[in-house]
Amino acid sequence: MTDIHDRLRSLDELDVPDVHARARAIGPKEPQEPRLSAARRVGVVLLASAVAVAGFGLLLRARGSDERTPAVTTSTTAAPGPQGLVAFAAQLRGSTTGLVIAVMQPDGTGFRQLTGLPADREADPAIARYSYASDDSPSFSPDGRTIAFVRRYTEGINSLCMIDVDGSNFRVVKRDAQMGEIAWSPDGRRIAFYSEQDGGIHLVDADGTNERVLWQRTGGPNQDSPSWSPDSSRVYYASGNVWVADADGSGSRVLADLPRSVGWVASSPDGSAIALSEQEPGGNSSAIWLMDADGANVRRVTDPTGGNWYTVTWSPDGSRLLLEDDRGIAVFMNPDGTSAGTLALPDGWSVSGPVAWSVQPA
Amino acid sequence: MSIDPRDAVERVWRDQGAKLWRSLVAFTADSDLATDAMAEAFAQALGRGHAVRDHDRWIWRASFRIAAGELKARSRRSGEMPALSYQMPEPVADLVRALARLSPNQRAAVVLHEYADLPTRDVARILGCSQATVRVHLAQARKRLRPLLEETDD
Repeated sequence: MTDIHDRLRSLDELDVPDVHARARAIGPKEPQEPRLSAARRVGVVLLASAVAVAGFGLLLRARGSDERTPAVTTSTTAAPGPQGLVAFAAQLRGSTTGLVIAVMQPDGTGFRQLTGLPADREADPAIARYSYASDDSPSFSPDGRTIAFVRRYTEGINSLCMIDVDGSNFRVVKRDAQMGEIAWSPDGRRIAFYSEQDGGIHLVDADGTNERVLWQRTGGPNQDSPSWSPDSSRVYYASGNVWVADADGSGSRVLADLPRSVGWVASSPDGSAIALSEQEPGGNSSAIWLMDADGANVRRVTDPTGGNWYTVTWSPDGSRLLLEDDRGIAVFMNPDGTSAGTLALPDGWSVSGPVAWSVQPA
Repeated sequence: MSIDPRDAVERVWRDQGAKLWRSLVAFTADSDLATDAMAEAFAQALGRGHAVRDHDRWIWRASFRIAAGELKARSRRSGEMPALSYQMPEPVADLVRALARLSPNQRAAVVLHEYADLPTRDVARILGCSQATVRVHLAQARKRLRPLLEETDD
């Protein structure tokens, strides 16, 4: 089978012109929205085959698999700890279909595929229309009995769906949802989500109606990863920094102005702390940090060289974190930074995206 | 102590310039456009000085957005992707032709993730979408690209 990654390496055969010299010749440009002016397109000196930069490739930092290997995995099963149920978008090795939602116990038992099965596929006619579906971004209802998730059919077309944790009662709650990551409020009434419509954070009632903007993006990084305060009065989100907004849309403010770029935030179940992932300088890896809920006392959880952690989830009792990296591995960690084992999936399965962790359904 | 923006831009060029330019060629199928977009992004980064916090990410994002904007404008004018603009080694030309048959977002996602080795989060920031959407772009790009590349292998 053709290896796409290997085939793309043939691009390394292309000689690279000295674009930096060209940029210096243009000179510093006044701040403006990045856009190539028509005038600049005229009279361009074609440099494409001109200057091969000798030895340039040697300076490239290869970001291969070794560098991204997590260093904190110490065992393949979780140490005894908080229980409940975890849900995540799962990928089966070699599968050509999209992601599916799966649940399991944190101790590695009880793995169960909930979606991508005949029952939920046949109940959704949009799958036949687009010949594809991929499910991700699971979020539990407060009682742990239902999972909301986003089903994506093709570019820009997705639905908010729900299914009960026993695999029954699949339903499409909102068509044309334009949702990225979602978070169900602790009071069960609303779902906050990253809107692919405007890059901001929106709210919708749990029945899929009454969509409104919580915070509209007006520039800067996209907003991402909404996370509710335990009393459902505030929504935290990442937009370069850690932000918080009141759930009525008022009072948006930067909670902590951090020197690096924040990509994920998660409020602890008791509301006393925020876990976040933050990109390291140079953009080569992501670490997990904690801060107090008021933005003070920022401290690192993961080792500086210890992997590339993208999202973080709290256990329902707040005693443990579950970290996800970009290669399908989820690792338990104590808030003091000590490792507590790996979420052990069945052979062939991997995690894709954030993991949700709920109390065991009553 | 903050880093001089000129040094930061210089470092991006030194460490990542080749990979960025080749990624842009794969995305646009046009070396001139790749050069233009990248030079423009570097010049704008210099102009913004300390307002840019992370020059690596800013320049990648700006370069791709500038290139994507120009591709879109061309598509409105002519309705199609440009032909290859200069002589490339045949395996690269085959690859770029195959990539040109993907949608712009699928093409950008697969180039940025599979060639430039950017994590899905950074790809999401460049494309202005969520990480989840990037995963969909990647899945669909791989599905379409594999048979196209196998054709060229024959």
